Amino acid sequence: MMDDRENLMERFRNGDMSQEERQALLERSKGDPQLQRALGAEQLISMAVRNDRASLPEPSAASRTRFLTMLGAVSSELEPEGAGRIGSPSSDIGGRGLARFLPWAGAGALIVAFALLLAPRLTERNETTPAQNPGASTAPGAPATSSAPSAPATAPSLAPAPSAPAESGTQPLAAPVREQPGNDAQASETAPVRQSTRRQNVRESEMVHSGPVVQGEHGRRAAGASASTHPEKSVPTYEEAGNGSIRKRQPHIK
Amino acid sequence: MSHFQLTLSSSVNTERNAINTVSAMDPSDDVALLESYLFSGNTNALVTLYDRHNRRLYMYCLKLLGNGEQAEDLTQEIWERIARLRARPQHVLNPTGFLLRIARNLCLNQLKARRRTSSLDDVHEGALPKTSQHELSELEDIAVRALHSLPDDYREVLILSLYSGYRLDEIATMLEKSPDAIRKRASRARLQLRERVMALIQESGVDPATLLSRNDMSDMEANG
Repeated sequence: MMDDRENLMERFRNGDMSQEERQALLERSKGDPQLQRALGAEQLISMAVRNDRASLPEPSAASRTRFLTMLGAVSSELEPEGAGRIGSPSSDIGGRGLARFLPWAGAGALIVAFALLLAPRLTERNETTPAQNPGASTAPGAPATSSAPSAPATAPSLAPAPSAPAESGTQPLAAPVREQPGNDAQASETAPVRQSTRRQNVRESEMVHSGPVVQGEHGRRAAGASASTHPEKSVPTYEEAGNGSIRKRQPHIK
Repeated sequence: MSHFQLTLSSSVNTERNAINTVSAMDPSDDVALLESYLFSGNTNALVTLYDRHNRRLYMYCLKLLGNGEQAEDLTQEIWERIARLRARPQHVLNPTGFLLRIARNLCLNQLKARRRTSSLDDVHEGALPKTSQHELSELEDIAVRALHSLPDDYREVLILSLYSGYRLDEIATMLEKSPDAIRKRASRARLQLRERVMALIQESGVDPATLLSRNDMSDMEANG
């Protein structure tokens, strides 16, 4: 009985009744005060909601502008650094492509720079031992720095090469030279002319230093170990010192 | 005067059109739009989503909070949260439900904050809409107040269907309930609302027959 009345109400409310059905229901409600009140209430609710909805304010026009501004700000904030500078949010494809390409380009540049750094050194080694001829040692070093001005800038980034591609996504070729307190201290003790790049520090120290080239405390320990284990090795090799610099593995031959 | 009537009638038509357009939307389209933004960074997709849903979310917040400025602030916050999801993209199978859930949580937080800073009576008054551009009749006001006095889950279903224009099956999807459960809830909500309005009508001494004898309440108001 209740369900029937509810169905009737629902049809009345939704306007699913024909005009005849509606009229019949209204006639019936005259003898049923409860039904009459219910229908009256339904009618009132429908009217009230319709008018209330029509009277509510729309979201202001400024809110859309505010949304667009926020979206632009969030997009530029969430962009990868390199791509964010290159492309706007709408040019994501180009920006992302470059962001993927740049680390690999940086890694390639580092490999080339490393090869350029080592090539003259190996040829020098075959010709003369710098420690035996300190006066002539400046000659091969000078052309290397003057003829290849980009080498000193790239050489310092050789040491952290394993992590370079990840870090060099935005600035692979122009990584700033990190100051190494150990290097400076060591260079001031040994080098007659202080150079600004690490590569030159290594080169100078190997040329004029009478002992093993070390970089910091780790380097000193490692150098001591390598001196005790390979005393007769004559061809010097280079390795990472663990603090982002290059050191010579082989101790100097007395 | 004629300009005002024209504006009013066009805004009502726009609103009806908006509700009809929104009701005809394909929910899978929303999924595609949201994923296009989250995974490809297509900001235009999010703008489209905004244009589709912002008004309805605003209406929902407005009816729950009863304050237009707060409703706008909250809808802005909803979209900012969505925009920031791009930092950690994830698949959202039900974007409208997702939007509604954020809106509901923000509204509830706002109401809780109000309760902390004001008395219960103030909260009740504050929850009533004070944003009407023109006055409702006394009886209409009674009906709207009755709607606001309903329990939260009942009121929510009615607001979503009557004010935001969602269909019951859409509401079921949003609230992650079965369509039958939402239909029952909506029916009970409507029954409870009607009983409250009937009681209020009886208290006010209005003859219900007068409500039925007129098709247009505004005509009745005009005639006194």
